[in-house]
Parts: sequence; structure tokens; C-alpha cells
Amino acid sequence: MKRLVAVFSFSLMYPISVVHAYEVGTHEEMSQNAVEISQLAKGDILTDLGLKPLDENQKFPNSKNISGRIIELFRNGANFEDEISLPRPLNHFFDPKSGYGLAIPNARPSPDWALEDKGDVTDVSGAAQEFSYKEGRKYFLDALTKATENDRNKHFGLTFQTLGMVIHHIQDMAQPQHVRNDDHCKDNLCRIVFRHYPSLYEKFTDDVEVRPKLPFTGYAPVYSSAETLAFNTPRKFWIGEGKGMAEFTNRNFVSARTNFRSTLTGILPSAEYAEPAPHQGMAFITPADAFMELGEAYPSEVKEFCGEGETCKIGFVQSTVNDAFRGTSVLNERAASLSIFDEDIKRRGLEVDVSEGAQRYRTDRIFSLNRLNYRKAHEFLIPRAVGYSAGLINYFFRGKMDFIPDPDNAGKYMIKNLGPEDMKGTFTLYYDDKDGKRYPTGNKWDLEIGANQSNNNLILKPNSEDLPEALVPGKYMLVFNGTMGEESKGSGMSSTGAVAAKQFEDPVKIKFTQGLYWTIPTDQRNPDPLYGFDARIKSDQSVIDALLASENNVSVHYKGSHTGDQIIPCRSFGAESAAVWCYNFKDPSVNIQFDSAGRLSPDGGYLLWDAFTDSSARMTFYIDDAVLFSVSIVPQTPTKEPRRNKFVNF
Amino acid sequence: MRGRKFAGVLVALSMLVMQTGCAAIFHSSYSSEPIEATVVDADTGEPLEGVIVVAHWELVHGSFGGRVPSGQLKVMEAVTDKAGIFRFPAWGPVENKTSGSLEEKSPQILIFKSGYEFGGFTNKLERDYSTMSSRRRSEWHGKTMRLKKFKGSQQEYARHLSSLTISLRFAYSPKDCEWKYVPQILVALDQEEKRLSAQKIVNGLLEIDDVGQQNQCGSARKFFEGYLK
Repeated sequence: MKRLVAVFSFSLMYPISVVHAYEVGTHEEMSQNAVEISQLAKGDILTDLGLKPLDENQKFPNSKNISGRIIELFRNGANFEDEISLPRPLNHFFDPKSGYGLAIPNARPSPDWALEDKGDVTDVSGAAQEFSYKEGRKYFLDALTKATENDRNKHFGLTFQTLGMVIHHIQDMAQPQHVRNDDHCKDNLCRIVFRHYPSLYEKFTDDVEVRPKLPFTGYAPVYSSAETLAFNTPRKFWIGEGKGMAEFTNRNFVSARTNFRSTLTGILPSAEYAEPAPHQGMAFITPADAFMELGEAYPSEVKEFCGEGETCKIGFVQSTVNDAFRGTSVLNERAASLSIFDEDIKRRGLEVDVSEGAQRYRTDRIFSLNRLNYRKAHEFLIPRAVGYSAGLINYFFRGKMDFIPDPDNAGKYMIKNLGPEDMKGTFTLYYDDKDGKRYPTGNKWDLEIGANQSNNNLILKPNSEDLPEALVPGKYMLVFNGTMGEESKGSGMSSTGAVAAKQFEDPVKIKFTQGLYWTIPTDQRNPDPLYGFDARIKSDQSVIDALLASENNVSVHYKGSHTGDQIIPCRSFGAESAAVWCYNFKDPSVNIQFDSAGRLSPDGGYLLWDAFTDSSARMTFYIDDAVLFSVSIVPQTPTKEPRRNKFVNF
Repeated sequence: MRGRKFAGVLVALSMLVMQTGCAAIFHSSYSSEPIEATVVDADTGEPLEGVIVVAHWELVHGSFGGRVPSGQLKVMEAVTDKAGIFRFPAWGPVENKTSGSLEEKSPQILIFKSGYEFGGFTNKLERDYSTMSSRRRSEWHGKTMRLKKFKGSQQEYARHLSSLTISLRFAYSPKDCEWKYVPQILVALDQEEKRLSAQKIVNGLLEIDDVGQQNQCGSARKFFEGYLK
């Protein structure tokens, strides 16, 4: 009931109802372009999360339970932020000079709403915000840690959709009216209260002939692996040392109702904002040329009054566009128009009073923003809306780490923080069973790892025997949750804390794919039963290539009763130990077999040794000193026929 | 009980306040004059055969969120003949069962031929809609539409076509099974999606299976079976 009253009160008090920024189609386009230039498309973020690359067909449900690919989910978010509920767009304004949003009770400034970094918020009707950056973090953690695959997919869908809704705000901050609290109602109802100010900028931008040709590209993501300092909190994408999107737009662009002014002595900034400062010189264009440039017929009513000649010229006020982040200054040759025409370059005869000290006069030359001004504004604003959106996506997924064998401690592991910020929190290892259910393995470390540092000497305990069998033995999901840079649990910015993940296969993406052992026919052996191994390994081509390039040594250590439980370093290759073999890994696609001399050979051959009966026998394969994989060997009764081994991965 | 009545009144009033504020003049029914136009290659001026043309008349209403589609009053699809001509017959009057209105720019005409830039054509941007009639006409009737060959990379083409997908949102996220009226363009875009995906090109195009409301409207794949062959 309270919510109804709130909505009704709002509708009476503020029927200026059309307050969204770009139309949803424009938002969808900007969001898609942002995803395409973000690390989601170019880096290995998605594969680190256990997902397929962006160009592959994988779908997740959105909040309406309609499945779509990742790009679609971002587009859904861009759309839903305006349309999913009635009062939502009232929170899409933010004046970085004052810090205020739209002047309506309980309407939130854009970053307060989109981020919830200053606490939980509700809209004017009292409905809770469910799709903020803060909520997105929670969805992301759930997408990585929930038990069932359905649940994880649902939360991945919500994560991408929510990010789409958050970057919608970044894009709104690239619409001058939204950073100058210049409301722009296009409803007829607004005529009743004399506040009918439809936004030509938004309508023109979304026109089906204009939108596909908008300059979406040309401004690299503001947050990337190469540039991580300026935007170290989400709010800084809005405001921070003049580099935020809202600051850029507010500082450099006038809006329809905060336009320049003129006096007898020259052109002045708007009454509300000192910037942008107009240059005093103007460039001129005839109305005929203006329409030609727009690709439209010269309207007869304008032609009749102005003709083809020099009368009725439109003056373009110029200003300098300063980009505080990239440190550039570029001339905007068409910051505003000064002419006898309105914004449609059609009506004329409007007059305004101008006062300057004691002097007052009327003029029919008015400042306006027409499609030629907006085309020019597009060149500055649209690429930045995309570049800042992509930057925020990169920021959200900035946590990067790896889990690899510890080179200084054989058999142990290390976590490398590959990101630009220190990580302090819990690193938990999960695995998936054959039904897709995700379980904690019991490996959990509370660590503090500096940027580009590592924490070594970690012991990887095998899964408990009472846990279900893994879908892919040795495949894990490492999930970090805690503090990363300025983002921490319960810091106000996010109650969830920072989240990062890395899916990996132990060890180092190479897995033991097949193992056979068999007895050698009795007529070829005497007197003891002999065994052969056919140990095949398979790997990603990139790893194989790397191995070939580096000429790593692959070594095999056998630990069993017949060698007296020795583990002899690979460097002893050539020594008289039957338990150690080394092989220079030149052809990874071949079967690695042990020849009769006890060496691994690409050409075949078998390892021959005495029968082993030790139930704890184990073979560990290494690349140099790094563990490749390790298998237990379960003794079998010798037979004449080859048969599958009983190697156990762990 | 009193509270519930009051709430009902509030809801009604709120809806009145919010939804009568349309971006156009409300009419209880609409009709349209026929549309006939020619599509030619922008470079050669030669007529283009086999161009898929979609015309749709979208009802919108005002809300706090801006222009919100109320639904499609009419959706039609045609293909150009050897002379590059397409025709949409006159229709109406069709009852407007929503609180929305047709915008001044309606109808929107979308044209597509593989390898070309898609075209989008509307009535001229005009923000004074006080004289808008319930009998609609397209300014493109009797005119020639020029399609440019797409010049750019396949990635750029994918991005370009995603704009068309966005303009066809009414079909992909329908309110009333609208995808059934535009089978040829959806199938054509499905084929483009498969072609681009096979080349590992990231794209925002949608497949036939992605169209909405299949629970209510039936299987799109089955419905489009004849076009998919």
C-alpha cells in the first residue's frame, strides 16, 4: 500500500515521466560493443570461470528465465534497466558538480543506485534494488560456488544481466542532460504542467538510420591490464579527479536547457555551469548546406524565407573538449548553434530577452542544439560510453590468479596473484562430480598475496574418499573471496567482497589419459613375470608447443617396494637406478613407453622389471621439477593378455 | 476493504497519469494506406530482387522509463520481385486494444539482403504530432530505397547486423507471437548467425531457437520448417 501511495504521489508530483537517457536500442548497441572490446572477448576470463569463449554458443537464463548468450544477457540488462520497472529510470541522473540526482524525493543519484556502494537503496516506490554492482558480486560468487549446475548457470545469467544494468548507467552519464539534471519529458501530459521538453538528442540517436552508424569504436577500455590505477573503485567510473564519465560529459557539453548564453559582449557559459567555456569565434553554415549535410531535402518553408544565399546562417559555437583521463584536448567545432532556428532547424521567430547589467534587449538569435551538434557530440560521447562500459566490465573481472606446481617444493603447489592488486582472503578449491554438482575439496587457504606475487608450499590434499567421483579427475575451480584493492567484504562497497576464480587441471593442464599395463607372455620372459607400461599423456596444443620449444625433460619417478621406496631426482638420469627415467619431450603425441633399457622412448619398447606387489606403488611424472601427474598402481595378477590398468589419478 | 478500494483507485489513477502520456495521439483504431516501393543497389542503381522487407507499426506508451512498446498493431513481411518492388496492401481499421499509440515515425520499414547494409526507413523525425491521423501512410510509398553493399570485415558486418536484431526486438521478444509474421528475415538472420559463428566471429545475432514465447506460440523451428530447408 505504501508503495502504491508512493508511486501515485510521484506520478502527480512529477508527471515529467520520460527521463531515461539513450533509448534502449542505443543502450543495447553500446553494451554489445562494450562486451566485444572487453576482456570477456579477448582474454581468458571466461575460460578461467569454467565457461566457453564468447564466440561459442552457451546460454544462461536472465531474471525473466529466458536463456540467452552472454552478449544477449548484457543487452537484456541494458534494456531492463529502463523497462523492468516503472520508477527505475528516475535513478539515472547524476550531477557530478553537486552530487545530486533528479530532484525528486527518494530518487537516487545514478552511482548510489547502480553500485549501492553507500548502502542498500530502494526506488521511489520502496522497491529494493536487486541489480546493482553489489548484487552482481553476490551473483558472481554464487555462480562459482553453488552446488548444482542449474543454480550456477542461473547466477551466471544474473551476473551478466546485472552488469548490463550497471553499465547502462555509465552510458547514461554520456548523455549531457543526465549529468546536468536537465529533465526531458516527451509525454503530452507534460504539456499540462509546462514541462514538455522532449529530448531530440535521444530520439535522433536511436533513429534506425542513425543508430547503426554511431561511432561505437575508437576509445579503448579505460580499465585494462595496462591501465589499472585511475579507476580503482567502481564509483570512479562516474566521478573521480575529473576522469569519471559523468565529469567528462558535464564539463564538456551543454544540454538543451543548460546551453550557452550571449550578451552584448560575447558568448558566455551557461548560467548553471562554468564549463564548457565557449570560444568567441563561430563557424557558419547556411540552412541549405545544413540540410544537405543531414541528407535531407531543404524544407520549402525554410527555403522560402531564407533562400539559398547568405541569410539565416547558422553559427556554430565552439568549445574545447578536455579528456582528463587520456590527457587530450580536442576542439568541438559544433558545441552549440546560434541562429534564428529552433533545434529542428525549422521554426523561427522565437525571441528571448537578454540582460547585461543595465542593458536589456530582445533577440531572435537563440542557442539551440540541433542534429548537426548532436552528430558532433556523438563523436566524443558514444565511443567513451562504450570504452567506460568496457572498462567497468574489465574492472569487475579484474581478479586473476593461477594454481601451479611449486618449483621450489616438489609435490607442492603455489597460487599466483596475476592481478594488479593485493589479494587477501580465502582461496577455496572446488571440483565437479559427474552430475555437475560442485563440492569443496577440503583445500582452503587463508592467504594474503601481493600483486604479481605468489604464495607457495601449498599442499593439495586429495578429495576425501567419501566424496563422489570427479567428472574430470584433477580438474578444479579455485575461488577467491575477500579483499582485493579497495574492494572488501562489508566495506560498504560490497558486502560480498571481491571475487575471482580460476579453473585448472592438475597438474598444469596435462592429464594422464590412458594407462595400460600387461604381462609379457611367458615365453618372452624368464623367470619372473614382467610388466610393461604404455603411459599416454595428452595435453592442450599450447602446452605441447611450449614443451617442445623449451625442451623440457619429462621424468618418471617410481616409488615402490622393489626400489626401496626411493625417489631419485631426474637429474640422476643415466645413473644406475632402475627407478628413474628421463625423456626429452620432443614428440608429445606419441605414446611414451619405456624401452628395455628402462628409458622412455617414443619408438616403443617396454619397461621390464620384476613383478611388483607393493600396493602403495606410485609413479609420478614430472616436467623438469614440476609434477605432471601421479598415479597409484594397483597390482594385478599377471595374465598373457593385455588389460586395462588400475591406475588411480589423484 | 476500504484500503483495497483506495489502492484500486490509486492504481487506476496512476495508470491513467502514466499511460495517457503517450508520445503520440491516441486512437482506438488505425488503418494504413498501401505501401509500394523499389529497392535498388546504391552503387549500380539496378533493382534488387529477393530483398526481405519488414514493415511494423509499433504502439508505444509513455512511462517513467520512456517510450515503452505496448505491442505491434501490425507486422508484415514481403520480398522484392525482379523489378526490386515490394508491396504491402492497405489494412484496417484495426482496433487498438492497448493504451498505446502509433508514433509519428511509424511505420518502420526494415530491409535486408545478405552482403548489404540493412536499411531502416521511417517517416521523418517530427516531434509535433498534434495533427497525426488514425489513417497512416508511409512517406516511403512510391519512393526508391537504396541499399549499399557492405564494405568491411566480417566482424564489422556481424556488428552491423546486430543493429538489425535490435530493431527486430519485437519479433525476438514478442508480446503476441509476432515472430510468426516475419519468418523470412528471422531465418535469414539465423543463417547469418550460423555462418559467422562457424568463422568464430563474435556476434549478437540470434537463432531461430532464440525467439521468445515458444511455450505459448509453438515451436519456432517447426513453424519455420518450410523456410529452413
